Amino acid sequence: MSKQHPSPAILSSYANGSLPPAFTIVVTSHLHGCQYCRREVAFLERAGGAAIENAPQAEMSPGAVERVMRRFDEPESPLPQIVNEDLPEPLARLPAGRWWPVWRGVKVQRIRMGGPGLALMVSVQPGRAFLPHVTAGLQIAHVLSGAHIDEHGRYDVGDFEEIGPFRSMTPKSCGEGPCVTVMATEGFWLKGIAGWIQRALGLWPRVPMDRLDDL
Amino acid sequence: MRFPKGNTVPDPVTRAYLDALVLAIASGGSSDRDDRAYSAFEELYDYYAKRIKGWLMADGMPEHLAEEIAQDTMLMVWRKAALFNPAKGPARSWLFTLARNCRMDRLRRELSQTGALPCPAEYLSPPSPEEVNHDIEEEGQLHRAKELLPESQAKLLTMVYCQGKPHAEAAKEQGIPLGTVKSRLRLAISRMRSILHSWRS
Repeated sequence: MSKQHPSPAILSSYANGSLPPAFTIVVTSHLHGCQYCRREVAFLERAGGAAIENAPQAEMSPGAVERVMRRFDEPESPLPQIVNEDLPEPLARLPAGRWWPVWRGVKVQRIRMGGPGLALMVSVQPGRAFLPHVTAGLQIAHVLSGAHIDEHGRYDVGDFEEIGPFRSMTPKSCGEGPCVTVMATEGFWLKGIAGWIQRALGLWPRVPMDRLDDL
Repeated sequence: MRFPKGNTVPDPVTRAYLDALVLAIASGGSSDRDDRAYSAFEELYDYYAKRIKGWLMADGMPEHLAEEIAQDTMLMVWRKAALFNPAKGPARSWLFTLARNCRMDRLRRELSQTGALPCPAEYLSPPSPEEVNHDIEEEGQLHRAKELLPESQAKLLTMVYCQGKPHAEAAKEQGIPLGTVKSRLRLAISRMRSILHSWRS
């Protein structure tokens, strides 16, 4: 059962469709396992439905309705297949890249979502820790299996971690099995030797994301 | 039948009416639909497309993009109408989720250089809650509860949760610090909760 949830700010931009795709995938993963947040989002969608009806109206261009009706017979884009049965929806339908070992007991897999931010699957062996880093912006993570503990708390299966910019963290896997999380980040600075490598490779994080500045 | 002009507060009548329109569009199956479906579609288009466009433009989206998303949404309404289930919630919320998904898809197409979409927004949209509230009065209650809030809180709620404005922008418009926006929102939500709760029990 989830004990830690996305903030109202994240859920409302999610329900509005203004959250970038990389972050959306993490929130959706959480929602699939969390009845409480599903109800929150359903509530926000109702509010959104009422908002559209009360929104200022903007006339459509002439002939637009005919253009829409001409598209009725266009073929629909096919449904994505399940490519990874081990993972819950919606991750199961995303084309999986390969796992890259990046540190002792740590491997990552990139989820290409397009747009600002970076979405990753991270697997950390028990007792091992992800590289110490400082966040460059919003960073969120949803725990799929295992558990991890860091400077901000302990996160078990189903929990959602939400961290703002300029926070230092070293998430350590503390469960029985490997800790697998799906996470999205605006970027982070690695510390120590890894930080030197990051700098040498020119992998500087900084993604403008004006909509999330106030989170 | 037409909607009365200038009807701004959603009420059970418009709710039943929107529901009926979507159900009429769905009638006759997906491949071979009759005139009733087409005329219902045109009527819903007249009512709804300009509202989606207006909603998106109020959110700062350029006109041509807002127009395209409104058209995409109406196309989705035609395709997905058979999936609408009034027992699961009003057509209003269902239409909103379609518009939201079209917006996400369009944004991702604009954002990704490769053009490859791993997964359409439909699969990223939230699963519906198991517990469905059948109370047709619920939305009316929501509006009445909002009216009981102090004006400053109600305004913020509308800005942030209905118009999707970032907190910082709401703070600038209201001329109050960001921290105050956040604390007022927290207060407003917990007060709404307790009002709704007291009405239900």
